[in-house]
Amino acid sequence: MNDFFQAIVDPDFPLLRYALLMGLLSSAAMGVVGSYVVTRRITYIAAAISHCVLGGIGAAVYCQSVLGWQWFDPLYGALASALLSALLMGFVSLYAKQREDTVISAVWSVGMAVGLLFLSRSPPSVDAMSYLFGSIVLVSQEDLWLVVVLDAVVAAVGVGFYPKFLALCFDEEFAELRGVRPKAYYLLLLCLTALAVVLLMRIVGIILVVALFTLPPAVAGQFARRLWQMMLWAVLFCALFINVGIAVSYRQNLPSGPVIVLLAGGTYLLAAIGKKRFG
Amino acid sequence: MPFTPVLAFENVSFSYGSVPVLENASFSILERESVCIVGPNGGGKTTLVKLVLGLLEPSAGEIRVFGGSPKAVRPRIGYMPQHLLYDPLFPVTVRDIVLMGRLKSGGVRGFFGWPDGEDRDAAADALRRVGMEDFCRRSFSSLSGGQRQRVLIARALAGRPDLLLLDEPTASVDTLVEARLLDLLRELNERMTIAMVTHDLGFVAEMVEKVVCVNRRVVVHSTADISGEMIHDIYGGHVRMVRHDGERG
Repeated sequence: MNDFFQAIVDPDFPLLRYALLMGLLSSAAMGVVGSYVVTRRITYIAAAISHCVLGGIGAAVYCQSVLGWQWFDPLYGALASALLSALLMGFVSLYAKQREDTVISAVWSVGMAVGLLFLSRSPPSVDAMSYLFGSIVLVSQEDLWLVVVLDAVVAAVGVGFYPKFLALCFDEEFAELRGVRPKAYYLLLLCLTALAVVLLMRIVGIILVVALFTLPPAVAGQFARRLWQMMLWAVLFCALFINVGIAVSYRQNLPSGPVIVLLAGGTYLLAAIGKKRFG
Repeated sequence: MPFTPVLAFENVSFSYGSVPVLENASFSILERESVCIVGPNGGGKTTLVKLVLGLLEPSAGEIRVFGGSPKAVRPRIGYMPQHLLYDPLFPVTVRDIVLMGRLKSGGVRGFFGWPDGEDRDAAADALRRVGMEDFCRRSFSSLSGGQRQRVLIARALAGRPDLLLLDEPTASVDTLVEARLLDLLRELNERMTIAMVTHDLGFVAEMVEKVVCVNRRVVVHSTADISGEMIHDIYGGHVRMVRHDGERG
């Protein structure tokens, strides 16, 4: 473990520090939004958004490498496609008379297909695997600033409207009768979900990022008695999983995403068994 | 001064697509009256409740609640839905739920939805009225069916309504709880108009004055003349009746 701590303080190796910091910061947004996503039972929409992000990343990589648009960072592409897919699924599920799960599957797979096509036309130097499964090598200092801003916005909106989101997640119809506009807040929640996906996609990868929405609140849900307690514990668990996961993957030279997710999944299993036996 | 009923339906019809659910319903409920809404499953009881709340719009006719449109007077209506529909794992306490009945739409607090001191007092008051004040920190999932029912009634009362609308208050509640619920409703009825959907006429027969029978058409009976014909109307078929007063029917 010593060489891991040495690497953290190594002035010539900032990547590890950035990744750890990014993980710690994003945990705040992840725990807050994840708890809403889990209690409102829309984790599958979060999964669809995160997969769709590949479309935006692919487009950005193509524009950068083939068209020479250097300013078009994959992060911007990811942001745009996450928000677009969130709003698309939101509007369709609210207004169009289509089966919701069908639309989600369609958006999910079409988004990925777009990304894969763009990546196939881009120079092979771009490592698509890093986006899919996460790699701390992708983290840069500029990203860190964007993550700080996004994280603050998402956490502040999520916490600020807590009473309304709580009422909506528990009983949407009653909340509407008390003057909360369910459609508007549903779309807002989907947008917050989209932003949170983008926050963590570099470290965990877009395929596995849904695990960090679901598993930390799920572990917290085994013992939390109120939604804000669930959030607080989810933030702590999320930070723990990310940091321990990065440490282990650094030591063993493994991709960070799968290690983090296995850690989270294992903890959830233990927590669920523990609750069944002792709870 | 013209006399306005609390609730008035005038020739109201409603259909889901081409399936008619209510046809030409006209009836009214007066202030401080208590009525019960009965009828077979799929007969339109819940639709009627949603029309009163403005969650559905009638396809013909007019609904006035407190003389206004249902949506405009929502803050004056306290609504208790069936409690069977909730996620048993939801992390929420009794007090959290009752405070939801205080959400409002105006002002900065209304915009974000955070409760103030007055809201907390009203919530505590509502919990006291249903006898659940000692449970305010308990989690909703740890309560029994009857206790959950009371919490949901407290949530409806927290907004200090003038009309209380209850959907199946006796579903999944045992007889003892039922009796206590009836006492509570009688007490509340001194201050507000109560309308409740129920399958269980026996539960309300001694409390309500009117029975609104909904089976696509709406017929209003007075409880004074509950008869075989009326039971037939309500349940839409032959029902064996048991008379409790010793007479053979």
